[in-house]
Amino acid sequence: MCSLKLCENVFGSSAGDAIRSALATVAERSFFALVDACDETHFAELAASHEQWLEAAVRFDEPSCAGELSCTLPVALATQLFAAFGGIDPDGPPPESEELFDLIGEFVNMICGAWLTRAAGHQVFRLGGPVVTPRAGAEWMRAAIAAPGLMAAIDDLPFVIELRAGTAPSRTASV
Amino acid sequence: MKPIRILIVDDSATMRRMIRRALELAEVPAEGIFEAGDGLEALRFLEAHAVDVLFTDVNMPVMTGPELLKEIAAAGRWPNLRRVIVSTDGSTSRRDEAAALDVRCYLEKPFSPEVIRDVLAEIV
Repeated sequence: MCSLKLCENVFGSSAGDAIRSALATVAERSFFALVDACDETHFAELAASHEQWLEAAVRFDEPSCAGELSCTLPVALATQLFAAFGGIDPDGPPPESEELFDLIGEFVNMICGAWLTRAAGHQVFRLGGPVVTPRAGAEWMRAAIAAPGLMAAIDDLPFVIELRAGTAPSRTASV
Repeated sequence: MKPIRILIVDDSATMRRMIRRALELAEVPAEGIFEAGDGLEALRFLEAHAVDVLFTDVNMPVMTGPELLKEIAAAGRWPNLRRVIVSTDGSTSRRDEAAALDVRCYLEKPFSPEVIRDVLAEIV
């Protein structure tokens, strides 16, 4: 596949649908969670009550095409996904930060892998290690809403995915 | 299916837990389920313990999945070890690379417990 065609497949107009499909597959199959479409107004309503957020990003690259997929979600959703994934009582003790970061990193890694396999299944992309960063406050939430991302509701909790094209090398060597 | 000994190799504790849980939900008759955080740790475990089935991730620090599989092939000590790759990368190139490393099955994440049960029924 030529590089122009590859990048068109990865970043082109169909990217949003392909990422949404990958998100639904991962959320439903491994996390028993339902994904719904969500417009800005509904997202703002869902997001308003959450102060603590996590952003998880995975870089992907091959010689001619590179970028980053990032997901932003409230800690409440991350905790809910953790409980669903592990078959743990959601009302039990909260997970350690390290466990939560590992899980959300894998969640994003799976979304990225599933999407790239569909978008460019003939190419081998190198995925960087997931980088998970805590975010806090209303300002962060407003920035998430303003970003040109794909908004969704997972089990009625807000979730944003952003795709950025770029050629910088992966920040870490492996997943 | 007779009880089997399974080694899960992944640098993510979450993924090791996911595979273990899928094995339990699929009611796979396991004599033991063991874990390693990278290829080198897995190799050391294999040198000291009997294992029937190996599930390995691709990208890991210290020693990657393909590097581990090459070491296993070169050693020639484990001809009956069934090798399964578990990865988010389902590209055809990656699958071809796995086939050349004597991998019996390539599992694409995410997967359901039923898939893991079917895979084991086929290869064990």
